[in-house]
Amino acid sequence: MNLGKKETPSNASEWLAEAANKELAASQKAALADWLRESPTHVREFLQMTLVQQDLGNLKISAEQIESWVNEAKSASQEPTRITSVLEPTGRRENTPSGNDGFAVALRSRRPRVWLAAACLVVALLGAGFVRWEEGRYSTGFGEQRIVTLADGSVIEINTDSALQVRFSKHERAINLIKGEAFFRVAHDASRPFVVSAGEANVKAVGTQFNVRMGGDSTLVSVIEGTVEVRDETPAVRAAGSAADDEPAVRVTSGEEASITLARPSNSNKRLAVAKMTRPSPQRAASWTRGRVEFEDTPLGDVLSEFQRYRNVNVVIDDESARQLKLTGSFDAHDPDSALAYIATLPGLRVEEVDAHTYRIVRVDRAQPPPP
Amino acid sequence: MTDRSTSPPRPIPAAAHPTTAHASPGIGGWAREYAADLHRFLSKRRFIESDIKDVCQEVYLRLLRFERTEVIQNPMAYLFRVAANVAHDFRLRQAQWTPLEAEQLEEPATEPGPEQLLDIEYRNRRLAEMLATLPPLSRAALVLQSQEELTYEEIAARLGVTRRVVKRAIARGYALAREALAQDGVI
Repeated sequence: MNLGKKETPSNASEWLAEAANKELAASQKAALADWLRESPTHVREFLQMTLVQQDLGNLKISAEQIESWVNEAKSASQEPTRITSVLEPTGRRENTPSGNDGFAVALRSRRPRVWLAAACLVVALLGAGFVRWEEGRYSTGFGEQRIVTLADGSVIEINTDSALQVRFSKHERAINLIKGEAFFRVAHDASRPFVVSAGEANVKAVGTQFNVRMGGDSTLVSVIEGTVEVRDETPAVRAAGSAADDEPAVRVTSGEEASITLARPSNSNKRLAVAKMTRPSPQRAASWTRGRVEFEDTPLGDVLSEFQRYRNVNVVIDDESARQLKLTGSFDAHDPDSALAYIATLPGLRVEEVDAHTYRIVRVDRAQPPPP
Repeated sequence: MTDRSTSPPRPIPAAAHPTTAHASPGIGGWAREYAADLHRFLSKRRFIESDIKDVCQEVYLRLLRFERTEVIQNPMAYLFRVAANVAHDFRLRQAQWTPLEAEQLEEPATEPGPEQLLDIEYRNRRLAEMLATLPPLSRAALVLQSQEELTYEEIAARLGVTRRVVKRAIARGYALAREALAQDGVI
């Protein structure tokens, strides 16, 4: 019998059924082991379905109830249009006559305790939405950072207060950055592009390292290594259909940054504006992955809000000119105290401790009336 | 018995047979042996999804640490054993981190405690509700399979459909069931 490619289980429910049906052949065991070792998602789905299966067996259901469900199913299967027909895979033996085939096979493979035999799933449910290698949602809390290794070997470092969703399919490795910031080290796989969507921008990479940071009204893409393509995915552009493919994607290469903003936020035909710039030190964008925050001529106000992403510290600056003071330096992201100590050494500034979490920065070179 | 520094704390059986006596060849036997352990961890409290993911991520990483040639001997034995180990470790770790839940640590008793009985009750209720939402064919096929332990050929005969339809219905049932129950933190 020719076992086509289709007959190798490709998702958790198929594997579960296959394994539960009978002792697996050696080659199937190897395939199952490899499949499990492919992704934590496979492990999770397989375990979860096993638990469902166990629980269903332990559930107390009356014979009458079962009988009524059987009858319901019988009448449902008589209906001309069946939802299951959507799942019909293109392949051989589409029209197996029901009675004979089923009976003959039953006799051949009957076994004493094959309580799960019915779940022998050799039909790939391609296109049915079940072959979805969803890796799930990852998030970090305030001040937390997390490193996630994906099934393909790509690594995502997730910065503080961020969330992202990973969804792998055969054709695409899709990441949706929901909020915050993440650094991506992408494993090379030309057949499955790695696409990060952030708001309505798509960042497509094949094998590269880049950082994506979502801010209030702009998203910053910084490329450390390789090249990515930034694409506009606003409804207006997408509605243009295939024209969107002709839309030149903005290529951002190593050492470059792209700032993405909504061009006309109030208009329903909004589009993205992508501004490219070159960074003297491309590594800077990824400095947070080493627990550092680095600044280059950054206004003091921005420096402080950066620290506030990591720790519950509140710094008040009363003076606008102090807020605009430019700072350059590298600090421990989780140690705002050292940054404040540094700021206190700057001429003309004084740092006052208001309480455990609140500091005030005041200018001392002017006659500044003490705030109330 | 292999002994490598990367092995999980509790040994993995080298033999391809569970210690319990029944001869169920498939996943049922393995799962039955460890399901209680997993459940004790996975559904003790209404789990937040990320915990389950962390556990499974760890199971996955440990699976990777074994030689492929070992794992392919009996992947399910490895999977369930490792999962039970990880669940155990994780529970200990959680208990250390969150003193508030220390009372949930208790002992790894085989007898379900009152709290666990509540969990089982809750789980069974959710399972029944989930069954009610399944497409009729999937529901009937799953129930015949799990309750009456019929083969899928027998189910096909009983429902008057092809084996193929039964297979699909069951696949769909599992996928939908997992989705529904995982959302509720039941599994």
